[in-house]
Amino acid sequence: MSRITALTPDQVPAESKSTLDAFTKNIGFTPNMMTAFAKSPIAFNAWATLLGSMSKALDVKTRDSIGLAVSEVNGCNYCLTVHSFTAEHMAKLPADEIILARKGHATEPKRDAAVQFAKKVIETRGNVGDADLKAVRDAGYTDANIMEIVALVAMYSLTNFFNNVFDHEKDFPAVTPAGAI
Amino acid sequence: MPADSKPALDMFTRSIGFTPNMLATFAQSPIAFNAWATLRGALNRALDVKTREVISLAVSEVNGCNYCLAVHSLAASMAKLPADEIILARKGHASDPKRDAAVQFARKVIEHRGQVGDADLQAVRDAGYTDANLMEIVALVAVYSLTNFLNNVFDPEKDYPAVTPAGSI
Repeated sequence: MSRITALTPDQVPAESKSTLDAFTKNIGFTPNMMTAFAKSPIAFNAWATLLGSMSKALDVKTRDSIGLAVSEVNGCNYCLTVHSFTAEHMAKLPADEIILARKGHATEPKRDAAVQFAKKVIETRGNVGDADLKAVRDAGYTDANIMEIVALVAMYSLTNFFNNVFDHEKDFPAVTPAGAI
Repeated sequence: MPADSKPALDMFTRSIGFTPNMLATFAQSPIAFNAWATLRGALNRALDVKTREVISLAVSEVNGCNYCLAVHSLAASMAKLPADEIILARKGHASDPKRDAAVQFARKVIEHRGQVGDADLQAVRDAGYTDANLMEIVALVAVYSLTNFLNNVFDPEKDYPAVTPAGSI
């Protein structure tokens, strides 16, 4: 059961309204996590700006695969429903690739290296081994790309932590829970 | 150094008084560097500076980031936190009861990846934090984790005054 009281539309703080409306238009409905997050215009707008800026990093398939790998490690079931939905509808990842991403892999070798590295970063809190760093560099990622992977790991962790704390009612299509694939 | 990173890097250099190794490194990705600088600036409006700093210390301790502990210890002393309060923060506490609840909660969030217990949530709410404040605490945990992870990955040469390493306080 959700650990937060949802806002009614007239309770949404004015400073959160345009960001919330943009998500509603883009996703097609207003997810429970967004209605909750809108309670803090500071955090909600800061995160939305971050999400927008980081959409210039790497490519959408790699970003969404990282989102799935990180959400699996952080055990965020709400997030796994969100990222599985966006991976299917926006990044056009097939169903088996979505499961593979949750396991920290991708079929495409370069993307596989990025997802493996992202999984190591979140598992070890950045305390990756020299071999991990070498593997992602050998796959063709620059230091700038690696920083973008790390920033994406933290960005997805923000909503993972947020959704784990408040445990919203699920409103995206159901998926297999974390730890059960 | 990419031209797109220059304004943010110059701003940090002016405000800190030198160019820290971590920022000179981070500037290699204008996308990530500017995104982080903007996020950090926006979250400077959340809670108060002492609470933000104690959260940064608690989170950096859990994430085992020694470079970050040096950075945040200096920043905390600039926020007028005494030395014993800085060590207390690294242990996930503060002497002020309300701030103590925030830092305890932040520590639980990073330790358990957000999977906090009902009692943890109750305790921070009982201390007087609103749902909006809790979201700000969670966002701060993530923004500090970003640089924790980054500095753990790239391990920049230390250029802040040395502090006791993570796990040994």
